[in-house]
Amino acid sequence: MRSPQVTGLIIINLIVACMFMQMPLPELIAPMRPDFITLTLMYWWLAHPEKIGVIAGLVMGLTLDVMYGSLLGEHALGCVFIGWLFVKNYQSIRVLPLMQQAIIVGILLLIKQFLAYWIDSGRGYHTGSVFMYFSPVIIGAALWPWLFIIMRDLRRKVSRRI
Amino acid sequence: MQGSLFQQGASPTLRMIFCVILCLGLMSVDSRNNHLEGLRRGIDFAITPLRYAINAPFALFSWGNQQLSTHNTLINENTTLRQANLDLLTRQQKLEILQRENLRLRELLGSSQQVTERSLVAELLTVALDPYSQQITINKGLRDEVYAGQPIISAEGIMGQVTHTGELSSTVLLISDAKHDIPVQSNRSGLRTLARGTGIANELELLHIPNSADLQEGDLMISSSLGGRFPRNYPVAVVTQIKRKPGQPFAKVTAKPTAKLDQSSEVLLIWPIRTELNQSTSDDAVIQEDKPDA
Repeated sequence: MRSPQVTGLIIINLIVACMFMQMPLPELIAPMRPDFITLTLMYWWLAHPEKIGVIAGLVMGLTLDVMYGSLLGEHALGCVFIGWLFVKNYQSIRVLPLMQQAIIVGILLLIKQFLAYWIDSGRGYHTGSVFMYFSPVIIGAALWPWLFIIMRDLRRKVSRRI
Repeated sequence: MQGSLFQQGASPTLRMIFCVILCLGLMSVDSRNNHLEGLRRGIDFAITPLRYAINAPFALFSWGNQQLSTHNTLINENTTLRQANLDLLTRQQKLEILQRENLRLRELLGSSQQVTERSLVAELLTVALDPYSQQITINKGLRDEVYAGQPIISAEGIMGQVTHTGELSSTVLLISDAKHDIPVQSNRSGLRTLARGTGIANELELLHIPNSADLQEGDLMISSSLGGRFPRNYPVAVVTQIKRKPGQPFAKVTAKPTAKLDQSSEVLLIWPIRTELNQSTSDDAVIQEDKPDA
């Protein structure tokens, strides 16, 4: 399946996700910002696993690391792991109801966040409550159904035009 | 449809294993030294346009606000600024005299001192995503000769230092980050100590202060330049609380940074320059510089 339109859509989508990650938010809700980049990647891993794979997860994960100012590879590790699970099992995840998908997304985001938390606290960097650190996970999982529907419609619109 | 039926290239599992090993390698290298600065800089360069794009509407808004402000507000602002300027100029006269006197005295003592510093105003682009790291991104980078380790100050005091530089932007670690320590000195008693960040924007912790140390609440802590990174004599923090516990060897001292770390939108980059007082004795001065506080 060769469709440059879809590839273009994926790239634009990832750029928009990067912008969402960089957007200034009020101090109060800024720590709850969900990981849009991983969410976007998750959708495309399900929709077009032949176009986007583990390597894209590595590249976007490293971008996340630069944005967070964390160790290079800290977030990439989680992204690569989620990417592998999704690309391996996209057929079984794709047919699940949206709510069940959201639960899976939440668990995977939690694993990714936990990896980062674990690496950071292993280096002795953490103070304060754990709840704040994991709130993006809950928000991310709650956003998944909407994100999925919006992206699916976008994808269909683009592929219909071919 | 061939691609979906038959694997092309390596399998996802193989790629995953490769990527995980790569990530682990990158992390271990990155945590020990800064060989990966190039890679970080490259990615940073790629996302810098996005930062500017996001900032554009806000910049446009403030520009529009400025353009549309009324004649009256401008006049008012102008008068207040003129007054402030006059005030500063008068103080500057005194300062210049004092500086010259200080130079003369130091010349007599034969010690050198940093006198002039180049500075540049930078604007805040983004605040770190991680709620526990106190980091900001500013809009000046390698193009403006920003270097890693460069001190950042605001009108009220020291804010932090540059940790990573990109072509057009750089990351600043604030003094309140839990990873950051800054050598300070009490302005009143001269007591030297370290101020460590706590991860909370308005709190620093002063380390290793004996119970009998000459320190009071309200003492101003200034930078002592012992680490060789921050310039000397800039305000850093004010002591807010001292808890002396007789059973413990050290008192628990907290301080509040004088700079408004979570409110400033403009910061000042400075290039500390060590100028010698006397060209003829410059060699002596350099030697003496190696032994600070001799």
